[in-house]
Amino acid sequence: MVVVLAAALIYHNVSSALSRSHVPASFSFLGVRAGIPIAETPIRYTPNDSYGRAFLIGVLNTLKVALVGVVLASVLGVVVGVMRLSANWLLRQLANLYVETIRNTPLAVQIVFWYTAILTPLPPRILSAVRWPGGVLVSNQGIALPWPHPTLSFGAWLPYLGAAVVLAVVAYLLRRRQLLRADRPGNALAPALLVLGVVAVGGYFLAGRTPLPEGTATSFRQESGIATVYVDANGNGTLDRGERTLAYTPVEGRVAHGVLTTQTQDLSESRRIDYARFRFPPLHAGEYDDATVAFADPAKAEGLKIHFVHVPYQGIVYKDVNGNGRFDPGEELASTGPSKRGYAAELRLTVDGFRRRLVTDRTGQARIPRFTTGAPPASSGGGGGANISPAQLFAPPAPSTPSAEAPAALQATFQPSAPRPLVVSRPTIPISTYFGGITLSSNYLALLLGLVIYTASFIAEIVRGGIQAVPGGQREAAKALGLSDFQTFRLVIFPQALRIILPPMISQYLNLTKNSSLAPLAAYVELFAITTIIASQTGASVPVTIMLIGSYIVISLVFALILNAVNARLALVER
Amino acid sequence: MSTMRRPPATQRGALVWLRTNLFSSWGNAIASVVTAVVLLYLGGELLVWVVTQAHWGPVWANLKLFAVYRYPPELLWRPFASSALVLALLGVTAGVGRGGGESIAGGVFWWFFGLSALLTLVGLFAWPVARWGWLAVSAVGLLGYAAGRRAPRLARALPWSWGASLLVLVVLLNGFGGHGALRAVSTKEWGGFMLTLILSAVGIAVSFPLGIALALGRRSRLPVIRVVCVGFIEIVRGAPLIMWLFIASLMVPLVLNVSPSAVGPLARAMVAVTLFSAAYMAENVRGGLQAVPKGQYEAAQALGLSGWQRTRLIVLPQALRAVIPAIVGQAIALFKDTSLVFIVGLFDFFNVGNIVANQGASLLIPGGVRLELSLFLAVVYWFFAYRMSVASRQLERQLGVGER
Amino acid sequence: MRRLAFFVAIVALVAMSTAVAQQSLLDKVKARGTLVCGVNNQLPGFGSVDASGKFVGFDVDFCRAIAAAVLGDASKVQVRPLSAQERFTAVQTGEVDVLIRNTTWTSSRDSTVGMEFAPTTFYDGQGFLVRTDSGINTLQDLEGRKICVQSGTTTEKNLADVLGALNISFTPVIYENPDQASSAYDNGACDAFTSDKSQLASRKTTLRDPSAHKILDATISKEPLGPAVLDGDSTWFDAVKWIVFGVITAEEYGITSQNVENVAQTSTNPTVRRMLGVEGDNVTGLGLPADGILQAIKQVGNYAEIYNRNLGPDTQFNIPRGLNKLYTNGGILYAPPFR
Repeated sequence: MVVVLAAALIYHNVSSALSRSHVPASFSFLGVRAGIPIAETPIRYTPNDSYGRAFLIGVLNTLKVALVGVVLASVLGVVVGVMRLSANWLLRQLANLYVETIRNTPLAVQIVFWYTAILTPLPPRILSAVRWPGGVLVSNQGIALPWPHPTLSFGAWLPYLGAAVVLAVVAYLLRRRQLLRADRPGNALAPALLVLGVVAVGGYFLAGRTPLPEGTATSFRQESGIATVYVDANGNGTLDRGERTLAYTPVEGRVAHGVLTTQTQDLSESRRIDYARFRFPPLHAGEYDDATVAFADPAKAEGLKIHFVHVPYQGIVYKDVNGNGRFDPGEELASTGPSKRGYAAELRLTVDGFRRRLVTDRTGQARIPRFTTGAPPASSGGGGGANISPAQLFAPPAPSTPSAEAPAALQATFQPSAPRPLVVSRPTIPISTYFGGITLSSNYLALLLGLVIYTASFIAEIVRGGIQAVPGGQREAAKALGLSDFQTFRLVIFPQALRIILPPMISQYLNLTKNSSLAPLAAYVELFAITTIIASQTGASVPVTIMLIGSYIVISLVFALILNAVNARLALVER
Repeated sequence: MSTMRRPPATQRGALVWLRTNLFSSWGNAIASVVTAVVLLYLGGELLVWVVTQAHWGPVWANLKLFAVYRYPPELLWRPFASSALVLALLGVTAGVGRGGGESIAGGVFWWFFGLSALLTLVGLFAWPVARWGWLAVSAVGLLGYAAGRRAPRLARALPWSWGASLLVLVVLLNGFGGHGALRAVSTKEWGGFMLTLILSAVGIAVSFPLGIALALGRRSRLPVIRVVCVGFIEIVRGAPLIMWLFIASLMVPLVLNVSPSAVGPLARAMVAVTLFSAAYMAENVRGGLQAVPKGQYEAAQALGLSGWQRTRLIVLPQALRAVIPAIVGQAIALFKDTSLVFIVGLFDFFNVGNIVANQGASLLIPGGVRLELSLFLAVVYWFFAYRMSVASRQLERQLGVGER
Repeated sequence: MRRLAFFVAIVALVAMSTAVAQQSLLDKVKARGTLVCGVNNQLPGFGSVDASGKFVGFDVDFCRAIAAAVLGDASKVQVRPLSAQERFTAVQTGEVDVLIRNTTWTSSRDSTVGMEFAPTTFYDGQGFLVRTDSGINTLQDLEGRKICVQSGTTTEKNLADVLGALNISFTPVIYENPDQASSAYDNGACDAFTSDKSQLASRKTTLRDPSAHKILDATISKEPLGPAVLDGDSTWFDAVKWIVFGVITAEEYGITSQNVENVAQTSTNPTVRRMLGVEGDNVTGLGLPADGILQAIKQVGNYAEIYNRNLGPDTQFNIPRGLNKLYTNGGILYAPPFR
């Protein structure tokens, strides 16, 4: 009775207060165009999509950081937990230091720290991104990795995959029965895997023969270097509304003749130390024919020279102090004067027959670097000082008078080819963002780093406790059987410890998921961040928070169910 | 595995220690060298940055904001007096302590006394505003310790003096009336580390009885109460604190059906923090309740105790004793979590950092001062949380929890 | 029996909650003795906290002017720092009396969000800050670039609307704190930083090398910033509105904090006399004390004084007045007459 009354009172209060206080309270906003730009979207999203879809992006982004975080935190936590029990004093102390420091500092502070640390001193700007082996690009906008994407023939591969699994299971069962009958030891898994592999790989190549759809065409926009691959359903030669674009399709882009002019934005800099090292957006060796590099402002760079580390896109600016005509350590710009600014270098590449294999992105677009026909890029409209009003932005462009000086269009062709079921897209930097591959933004990385490092310190303690709880006799018995230290740990100690470790681990995984709500501190847009944005844009704070609570409860429940099931299985093994 | 036994007398000496602890095998030796090199390099880099490159000016200039935010400067003696009171009581507790309580209370006292003495030193040289304040706090703390040592009889007065001090603190910090030295200071002017401490203290203190009630409610025979308690605990624990704070700032005035200005952001944050903490507290207490052997219930029943008597006299004392370390652990977690109140527009220690980062002077520093700020915040939070976790471990040892 | 008790309880509850008689905020503020004013505290020049814990800035000065006019004392302001996300809820629920937090006057905020906007105190427009050597000169050059923007603001929506309509694709990076957005831009995490041009001008001065950056000519939106109060309380709205007009009129007539008392005694200009409460009931008719506007000018200053103190050439921001000049000097600041 008391409970019911209390509930009634709360309901009454809330509804009367709501009606009094001008806070809208319906879910109708969900279908309205959101107009919120979101940087990271696991599924396709544009600001023209609805608030409902924006909210869904938030949920997916939460899962993206939580799932990866759980795996990484477990790995790091186990390593540190084992380190805390190491025979090596230094490792033990290091692990202690880690746990005691991280556990006793608020996560919010740590995320702000990582975010600032990632953004400021460590990696270079995007235009001077570091290229790691395997096509990985690193800059302060994040890390871009090559990534396999399902293509339009992926659907054709699925039946083969299904068949492969079924056949493999059948093979396994048959083989096992055979072995059991014959009563001899043997591996039933190997032939099953063989069947799986053969059918899947065979299907991969068969499915890869799916031709491109009828009417596939490409359009190219010279000013941005973007080509769009689409199916020209009505055959009018342009991409119309409603016509399908071809995502993740391999494209071979060719430029007959072009010029790429680019500048270092600044000599790459650390937080307060400037270095003399510069980088240009990398073209691969063999992608250009002729290159010149010069200081953008020769007068200012009087007496300075350029030493190339990788011709032509990476080098060091130096001053030939001892006059031996080459760069010696200690002659780099950093030690030659107080101010290092303004020595931007300019790169001019001429290409004849540029070729690059590209993969279209989710929107069917592929990009090449911004080549021009040869004339230096015209700087239009700058410096005039006149304000351009919002109304003028949409004014139709002044009709251009055709003249003899009009630059010829860049000759570029794009040839899409029939894709295999999966295509590996490699990241490039066509202008100043990553394109292709998969990008882990610095915001995502900062949040992930904070969550992983924080949670791992708790997991480490759990792991240590779990291992210490395994009776010493087990260890001695394993030793007596002649197992090595590592075998003892892997086969005897860890499986037993796992049973003690797992339940508290579950709650740590949940904690990590919930803690991902600190994302706004790292400018990552997940569930909580998108909720606050929607609440402020629509004013519908009550309905949207109800959705927020619901989402967290569901996420928590799902996590708990999955992990409890795993836990139950482990417990069953116990005798 | 890690139990370090004292080596036999024949194996003493630095070299032997090195061999057994760092270079016992090839793998170990490599690990030691690599770790040492990496640690030295990173430590060196950090040191160079802290000493030569970091800009500590904004942190230094805003120490008052960090400590108490906008608390009126002419009334600063009140937070000082509050600190003195707490330190003195802690001193007395440490001083009179015998046996069990001694090492823990003593450790905590000396730790905080050290901090106060350090601040006094800093004040004497470079922080004139707070110079005498910290000196007085340290002196009063030391006096309390001396008093405790001299007159162990004070031990009897301790429980109620701690209780009374809570009241005194509230009166002292909040004040009353509109004029004079004790005039009321609106909670909107509160902030900085003071607010962080207040939020954590209130959160833990209020959530303790609430948590016990919820834990008992969860075992109730009445299904309605049980369902409500379980529902509350699970729903609250299912979502993050930052969300509850966001919701509290929105919903508390609606639920109470009062004008929002009647419930300030501090009150809303406190509601959220307390209820959140209570749900976790309930789970801790439940663990303790489950640890009480069944025989205890039956014995109590055999003695003819009523249900309530049984809970109060037999079950709860045993259950709570078992979960004290867990409760301290939760106090630490809560202390760290108070940093999330930035979302409701409170300016606790963490959020003052946001203000400082956005001051004109900070923005003029190339690259901003976020790194310096987060390092400063981290060190201060760590100082307190670490001490609490040490105390929690001592408690655990003394209570023999965890030992089976 | 139980059910009956339940119904009785419900009926009692409903009966208890009959609406409280509506009272104007103006009376409430007077009765309370303080003005609760919602501001931004992380936007140097407009609202920030100095090292001694004082709120300072252009917006804060308007709060003080309103307090001086209504309560006779500019210090009777309780400043409530609000984030961009919580500001409208704070007004809707009555937590703050007036919101002066670089808030743009828009039709949806005026209607569905339930605000009422007093005259614009600062005319602004959204622009872009870019590196001079980035090759970005027009909006079209933003194609494929990363753009830093602060969350929960109209800036965010404008960006998506305008660039979307111009068919320019870009990657947004959204920040909670303004300092993080500008330092991310400074560190090259994005190619452009978009915000109101006044903010951009003040941020530009704090970058490592201000001369290496420029603000694009294009303005993608109109951002009239001004005080906002809750819709449906015209008494309070009028009071706030005319206090702002008073401050603007004071600049037009050359009345400053130094000479205002003198002017009140000596001026023969009827408009000035009416505004300063020496003649007629123009000020008392608004529900203010007769010397309300006079006090605002005396204790806080006229528009030019407020502007110069917080944003003018002697400050680190040095934002040109531009549109915010008086209409007599080529701007669009124009106050209706006190008559």
